[in-house]
Amino acid sequence: MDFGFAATEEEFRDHVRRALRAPEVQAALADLPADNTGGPELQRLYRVLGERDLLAPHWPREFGGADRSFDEGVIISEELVRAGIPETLHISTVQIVGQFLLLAGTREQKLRHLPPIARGEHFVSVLYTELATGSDLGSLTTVAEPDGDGYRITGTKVFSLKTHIAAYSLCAARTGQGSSKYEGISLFLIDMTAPGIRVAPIPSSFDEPFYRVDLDGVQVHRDFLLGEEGAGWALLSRGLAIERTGLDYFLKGEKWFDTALGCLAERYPHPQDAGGGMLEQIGRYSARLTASRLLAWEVLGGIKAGEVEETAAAAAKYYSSELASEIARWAGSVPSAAQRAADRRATVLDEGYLEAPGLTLSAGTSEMMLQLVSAAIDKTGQES
Amino acid sequence: MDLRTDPLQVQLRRALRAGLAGVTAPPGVRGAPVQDGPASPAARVLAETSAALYELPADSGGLGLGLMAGLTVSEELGRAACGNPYRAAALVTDAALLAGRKDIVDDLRAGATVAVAGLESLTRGDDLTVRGADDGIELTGTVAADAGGADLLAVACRVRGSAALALVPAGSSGYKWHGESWPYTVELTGVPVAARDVLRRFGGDGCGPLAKARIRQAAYLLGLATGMHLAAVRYTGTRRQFGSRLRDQQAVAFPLAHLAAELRATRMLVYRAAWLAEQGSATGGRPGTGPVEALAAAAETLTEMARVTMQACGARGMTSEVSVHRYYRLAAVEPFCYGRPSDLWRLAGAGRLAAVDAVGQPA
Repeated sequence: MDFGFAATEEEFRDHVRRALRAPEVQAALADLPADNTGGPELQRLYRVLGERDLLAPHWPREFGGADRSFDEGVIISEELVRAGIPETLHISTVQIVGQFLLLAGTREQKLRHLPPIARGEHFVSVLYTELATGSDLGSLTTVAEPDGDGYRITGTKVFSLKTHIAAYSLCAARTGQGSSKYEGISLFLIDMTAPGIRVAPIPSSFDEPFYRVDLDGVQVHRDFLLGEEGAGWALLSRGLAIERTGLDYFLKGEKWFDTALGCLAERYPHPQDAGGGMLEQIGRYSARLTASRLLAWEVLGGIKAGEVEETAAAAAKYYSSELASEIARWAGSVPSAAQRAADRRATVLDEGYLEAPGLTLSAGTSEMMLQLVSAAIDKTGQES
Repeated sequence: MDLRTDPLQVQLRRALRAGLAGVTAPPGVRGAPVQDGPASPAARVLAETSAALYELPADSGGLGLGLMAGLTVSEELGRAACGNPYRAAALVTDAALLAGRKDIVDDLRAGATVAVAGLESLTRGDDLTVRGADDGIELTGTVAADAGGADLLAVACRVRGSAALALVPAGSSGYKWHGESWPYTVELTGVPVAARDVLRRFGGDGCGPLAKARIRQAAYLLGLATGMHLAAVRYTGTRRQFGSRLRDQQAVAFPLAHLAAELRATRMLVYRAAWLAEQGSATGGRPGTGPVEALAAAAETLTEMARVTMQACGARGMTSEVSVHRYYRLAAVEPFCYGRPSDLWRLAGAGRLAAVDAVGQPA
């Protein structure tokens, strides 16, 4: 086992950190509105990042990347969040849909869609769930009917993120019926400027709204079908495992933990003054965050090798999202009144508290993750 | 980063697992849950597989396989719910080599046996009184020992504020062994220890003998938790209630699935700590916290495992019918005998807090 990074990877991390401190990046970052509702400002920031190969440098050069290693792509994901770059777009566009296209897209699809993503020009949102579907994606009812040289898609998708600025969306729709509800599902990339699409925000307690997307006979050419018609469930399962590395949850937890720790370090120059109970909690969260990151890297190592290990991904997603949620609830109470009045750290932690309930729901609820791990235990008799 | 298990460790694991599968448990459900000492079945398996040579450096006649091999031994002992005849000799060997006491290593290789005591209270230092310093010390107090029937007791203590390991031959003046109950304790009343038998560089940094001992113990606890989980998974896969297997009921299945995730996470912390110790830079910028974190995390995982699996196995888990009771009884002692989790977390937390500035970045 090797828990370290190669010298070239450490150098790359340093390079990324320096690049993210560049004045142009910092200026674009400073222009973002204080809440998470930014549109044009966010697009400008991502273009600045794309111009500097800071979004998808691990993709092949012909697809808009810079031929860097897979691990360096993960390093990018880590450093963007640590630099304060809003990560939702990077997660949905590069880490989920981009990786999905690399795994399952045709060469033509990769050439068409990946370069504008890597340049920060196109964002892609994910349209999976529906009002009555929830976590049970096999019960989705959006239909894609054959129509000329493509399909016509009709249905309503909910709880997607950043859809108001997405150029495309990855949409799951039913193209037929099979012997089980998991057959007959297909995946499409939908041009969000196509006629028949209506996008409306769904206000939530977190300041980044969800979106509802009504699709009314939206025309999609067959070139925008991902994988084979009707065989989308297997792709979807692979794609969901890619979403479930746990890395993004670890990074959120780390952000809130470090912010809270900074408040405590300021209040208690002598650590023992923080009290035994607080020190225990700091030690415990710090170690669990380390474990959370390692579980994510273990899953990512499998993806790098072309093996999407669903059980490892479910365990990693469960562990990291539960931990991040717990840290968010703890961290919100850490800043003193003076710290609340004086600076933005308390705002970061307040946002974390409001975001926390979504962490154990998105990309598969904790209950679903436990169900997947239980099934694996049942299959092998012992999970370890 | 490559988190796949090394092929050599897989081979060692298989050999040990096969040998330990033949170890029979002591009969009964009360008293010491394991057989200790040099004649114990687990010790015989370790001797047959030459486990004592795995970690020993090649220039001392060993195989030089490093701490990772010691972790595999420790984890497999725990998984099989055996006592741990490996850890004390490994710790004393590390400390003796660091102190230039090859004679002690030679004695151990020749068959001398050793137990370790006093680690539980080392972080607080309130169970032992140490008098004297440079010309030797005197030990007074009562401490728990990690095995019985040993020729030599290695007592962890604090000398002038620093951790040290005092070597006390069994039967020394002022030495009283309490072996009638488990865990074993030893009462020391003014026991003299010559200066040369006080190994001062025992604590050291995050990759010294104490750190390595904590990591080995963490692996042993991880093994116990893994074995206990396996026992519960097997039982709940056969026991039927209300028309279905227990494991098919979410109220039973989900806590076991939760603990499967905890086992994965704990394994990462334990093996990372060993890797860092082997790299010679114990915590990558946070010296000393890796071994402490691994031990505390493994202790808490085992404690939670004990609670959940005993509940899942019902009253049968308290009888000889299901093996979880052996792990449960070991879990009464083992998570605490190398340091209490609360003390360890405080150490780790204080180190972490001292290392950051007001925005949570390295100070």
